[in-house]
Amino acid sequence: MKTVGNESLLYRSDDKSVHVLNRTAKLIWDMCDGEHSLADFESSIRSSFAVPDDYDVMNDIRQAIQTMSDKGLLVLNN
Amino acid sequence: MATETTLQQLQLNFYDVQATIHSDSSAYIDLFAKMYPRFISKSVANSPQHTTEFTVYTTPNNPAKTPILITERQKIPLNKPDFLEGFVYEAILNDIISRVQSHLLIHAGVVSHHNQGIIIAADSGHGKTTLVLELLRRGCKFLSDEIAAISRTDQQVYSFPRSLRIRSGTLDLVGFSEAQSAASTWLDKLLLDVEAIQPNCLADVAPIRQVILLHNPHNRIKNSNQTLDIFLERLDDTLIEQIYQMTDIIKLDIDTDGVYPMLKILADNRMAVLEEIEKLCHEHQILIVNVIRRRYDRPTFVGPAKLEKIPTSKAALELLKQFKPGHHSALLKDEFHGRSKLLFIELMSLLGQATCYQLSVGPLNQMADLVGQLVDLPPA
Repeated sequence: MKTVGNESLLYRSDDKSVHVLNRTAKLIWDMCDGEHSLADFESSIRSSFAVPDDYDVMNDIRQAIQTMSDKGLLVLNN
Repeated sequence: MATETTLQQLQLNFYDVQATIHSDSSAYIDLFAKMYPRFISKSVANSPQHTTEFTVYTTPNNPAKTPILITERQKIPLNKPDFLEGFVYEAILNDIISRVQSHLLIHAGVVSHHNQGIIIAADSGHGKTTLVLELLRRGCKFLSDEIAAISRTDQQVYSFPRSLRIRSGTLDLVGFSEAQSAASTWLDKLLLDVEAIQPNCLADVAPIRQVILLHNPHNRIKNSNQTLDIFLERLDDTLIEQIYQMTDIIKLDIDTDGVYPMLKILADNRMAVLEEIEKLCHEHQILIVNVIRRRYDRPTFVGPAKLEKIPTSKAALELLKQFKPGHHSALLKDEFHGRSKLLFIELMSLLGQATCYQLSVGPLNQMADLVGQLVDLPPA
């Protein structure tokens, strides 16, 4: 993981792929440690970024996690 | 009785590469000297790490019995008179550039103001040189209109001060018409040193503070990232058959209406296709005269010009597409083992201190105003 400006680069040594995370995705990535709940994610995002109260942050979080999972960056435990 | 040809020579320094050009024609050597005067005189702090040589015979009076360009990698017979014009100069420059490892060379213009370097990248025809000259007229310093040389050691952009090749109309457009008297003409364009246009305008180096990608908002050509136009010296049935069998090619059209036959290719992995076609052409002894990597509609500049901030990763990806040495790069092959992803990561790091923008092209004054505001350049 390498941070450049507002983005972070994630390099997978197994398939040599490179992934770019924006600040929100980086925050989610950092919290994907098996210890945090989705509610923790939402709370952290709302406190770090100016998000309107009626915006569906949880939907974005689910999408981001699914994308990371689809790309093999995360293993989801039900 | 055979006569011995006397060769003249010229030595040029391009960052960590020293190139020596030999030719039987003093006119050739003189033209190179006119194109790269600042590469001859420029003192290099360290000895160049790589050296290379080129020999151009313009007559058959040589062991190959034909006009020929000899490089360290290959011998290219110059079978048609017009190969002795632009083709040889481009072939030599491309070969030199592919050997540079100290800097990332990106097809882009570069200016600076108050030591803030601005890289302006665009495909041909998007007004890059005109915008660079307009910014020069407004007080910016000039580093290059063609290549941004980004140092891998200090993250700064260095000048690439080869003589400008511009249309006289471009000089008129930006108010430098008088400079025309100092220019010579080559292949329908003017050739002149930038300080003949604006004295003392040259800067050697600047930290990269802004990266601007010129963008045509009205581009209607689809799949421009997958297109490849290859101009060949001649066609050969076996070669065409082999190209048709390449699995990465989605569509292949052959256009024989121009001076040289052209392969119009749509491909998934364009660079791999180009590399394969280069190998095949080498086997068949067919010269690739020119390669155009992306097709775009020429912008109309009717505007309005618009500047939008973009992520560094998007800018780095676009700059990577403008990586001048392409897949021939020794740096890419030797240090990054052919993996452009590693080049992307390095480029991202080098742009770490820059803010990146996309500039939708419009009228020249509007574009220059928008860029000027980023570096507190006084309005025109």
